[in-house]
Amino acid sequence: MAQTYEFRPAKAAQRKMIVDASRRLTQIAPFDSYQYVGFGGLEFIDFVEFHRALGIPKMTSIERDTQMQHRLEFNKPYRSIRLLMGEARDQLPEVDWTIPSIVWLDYTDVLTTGVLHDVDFVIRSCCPGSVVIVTINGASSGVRPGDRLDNVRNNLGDLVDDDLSEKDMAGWGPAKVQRGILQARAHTASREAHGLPMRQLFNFHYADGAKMQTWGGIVTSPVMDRTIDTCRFEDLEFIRADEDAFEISVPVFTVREIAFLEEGLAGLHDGALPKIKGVEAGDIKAFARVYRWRAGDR
Amino acid sequence: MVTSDTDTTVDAGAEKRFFIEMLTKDIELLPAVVDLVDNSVDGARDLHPDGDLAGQWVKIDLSEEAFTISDNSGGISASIARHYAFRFGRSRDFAGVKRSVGQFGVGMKRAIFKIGSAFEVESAYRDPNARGQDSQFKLAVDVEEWAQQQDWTFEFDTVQEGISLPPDEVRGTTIAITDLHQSVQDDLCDPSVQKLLRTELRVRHQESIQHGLKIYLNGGEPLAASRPALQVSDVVKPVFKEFQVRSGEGVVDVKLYAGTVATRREKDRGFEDDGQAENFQDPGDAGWYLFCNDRLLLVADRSPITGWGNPAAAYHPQYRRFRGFVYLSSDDAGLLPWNTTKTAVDRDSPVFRAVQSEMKTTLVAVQAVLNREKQVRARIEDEDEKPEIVAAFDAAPEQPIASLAVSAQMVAPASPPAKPRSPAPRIQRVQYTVDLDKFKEVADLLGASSGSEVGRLTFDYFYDQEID
Repeated sequence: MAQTYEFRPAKAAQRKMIVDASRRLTQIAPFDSYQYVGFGGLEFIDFVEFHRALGIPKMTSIERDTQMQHRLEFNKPYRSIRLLMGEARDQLPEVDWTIPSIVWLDYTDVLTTGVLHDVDFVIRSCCPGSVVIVTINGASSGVRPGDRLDNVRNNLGDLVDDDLSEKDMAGWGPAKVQRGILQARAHTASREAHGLPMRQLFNFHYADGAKMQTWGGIVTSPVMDRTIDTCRFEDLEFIRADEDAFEISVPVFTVREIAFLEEGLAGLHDGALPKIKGVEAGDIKAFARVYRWRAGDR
Repeated sequence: MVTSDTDTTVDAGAEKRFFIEMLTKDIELLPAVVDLVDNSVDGARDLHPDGDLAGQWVKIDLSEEAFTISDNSGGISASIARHYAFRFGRSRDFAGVKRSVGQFGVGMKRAIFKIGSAFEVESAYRDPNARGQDSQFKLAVDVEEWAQQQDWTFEFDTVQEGISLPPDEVRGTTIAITDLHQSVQDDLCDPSVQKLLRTELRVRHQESIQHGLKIYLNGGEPLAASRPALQVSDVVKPVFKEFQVRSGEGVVDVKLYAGTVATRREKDRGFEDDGQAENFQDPGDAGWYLFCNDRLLLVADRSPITGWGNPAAAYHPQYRRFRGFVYLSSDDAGLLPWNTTKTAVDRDSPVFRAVQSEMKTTLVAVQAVLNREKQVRARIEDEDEKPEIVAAFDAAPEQPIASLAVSAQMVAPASPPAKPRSPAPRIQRVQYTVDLDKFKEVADLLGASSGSEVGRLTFDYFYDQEID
């Protein structure tokens, strides 16, 4: 399990950040009244993380590969995890949406209308105070510049703005388009079902190989909105309420370098980052942004 | 140019022609007729706050000369006729009818103008509270003549007030419209239009018919209502939610039912959904039905407004068994999300938005069950016992929705785990060209007669020596 963290350090850091933000939900309801809904996969890493850190007892995992049911049953780390086998769109209605939820729709593919339908359903169904998170491919990996706009339009059709050009498709460009579409859909669904637009909390970009993005927020309502203010999510530096993403990059350092950097970073007041000869200042800056949430013993 | 004139008023008065011609452009003939029936239904409901409409009737007669609608819905008092009933638009000080269908105060006039250029209204009203306060009147109008007049008034032909109607006298209203517009005359005499009107009335007023109201079209038997029903059993439970939506000062009560109906025809069973679009069967009655104060507003709706295509899957014949029924009711008809012709919903209504959101998630949930059932059905092999979910839907009878118990979710048996796929043989074909003389030498040594045999034996030899 530890190996998986090492192989995908940015994803692991992101997971810890989301867990960290979720700690603030105690203002809304105690964790034993929350449930976690995700796509566990054989390793159920996020399930372990949410259970250990927050103590959420009630968990549901939706698993697409119905051939794997026996292995999934064997591998699930807690007996209380309920497995729902099949496509998300067919299984999400089986979840009990009357209790507050943390839902992580952790796809590996790009945004499609099918994903939007799942997101729309979850936002409408879950009760205010629930957190909904969506991870998708950033839509530029493996697609040549020049083909990216067509690719995005093929997936999302009319939802893509007419005035975009291929110039907007450099780097994280397609990811920005996807975030805009997700956000707009979430806004509408939440406003129709709960009376207020959803409040975005997460807008991560990261690349452990493929460019990935994670978007998410908290479902609110006129009654719940003040309570959500008291959670003070915005105090966390990785919280993003707009289209500017928080980019997670975890530089590789030796154990000795990490120890040195952490010693200097904790409680840093004067803003001067520690230095190591021969190490790029940019890497140290990136490390400073994520060191508290990176995986590893130290 | 600057002029000085002591008269500073600007004429913003209404033209009668506008009311006669423009209002009627916004409504088609059949909804206009249904509008007139709405008035009769409102009257009948007002007489029976308990909702039992037994003994109440509405009769519609169509001929080449006249369109006539009569009812025993209590009649219009001479005073209401004098001050409110014939005015354009609902006056603020008119209390109206609780849980009414009529609301805007244009339906009757608009319908009359739509149909013909002369009309006669006769009404007999008995005051339920005071003896000797009954009234009756008769009023005939030639619309063309009226349009020429300056005044916005009609004249009673006869009017009697402060009388006592004989106990057996029918309390009700008859509206006869004559001098029919040519196109209306053609339409009303067309059997196919009459059939449509019959359907429209049966469907739109099915709740009132079920509660005992008899609607007659050209005499004969009263129209029968269809009774909404969904599949229910010990293991299959449709959705039934009850909730309230607040809007301003008022409250709208909502009842939402959704689920499946039984497969209607034997040929539907095992019908292949995937394939050419032209093979699709489209049972016209799948979809959502939305009622406002018991008047049906959306019929078998399968459009995005009720969630089809977003967030639910767009309509496809595999969802032909879906039925959803939503009943909105409010003492204040103004809170209900209908447009003025009551032919479509007002999408901007906050009440409708809240209800729409429930319809959308409910549709996704019922679709999910239908998807699961279809997937399991597709896996059944001939010798297999029917999986529980398939057996459950094949056996579940339909029950009237009024008998359903509350269920926030669509309940159906779980899908059985998929059988493990037998691993397909993984093979790779190898093909190459070699020198013929060398091939013959190798073939001789191996005692092989064909190229493929030589290939396989040499591969096996290499594998044995170097890998195994």
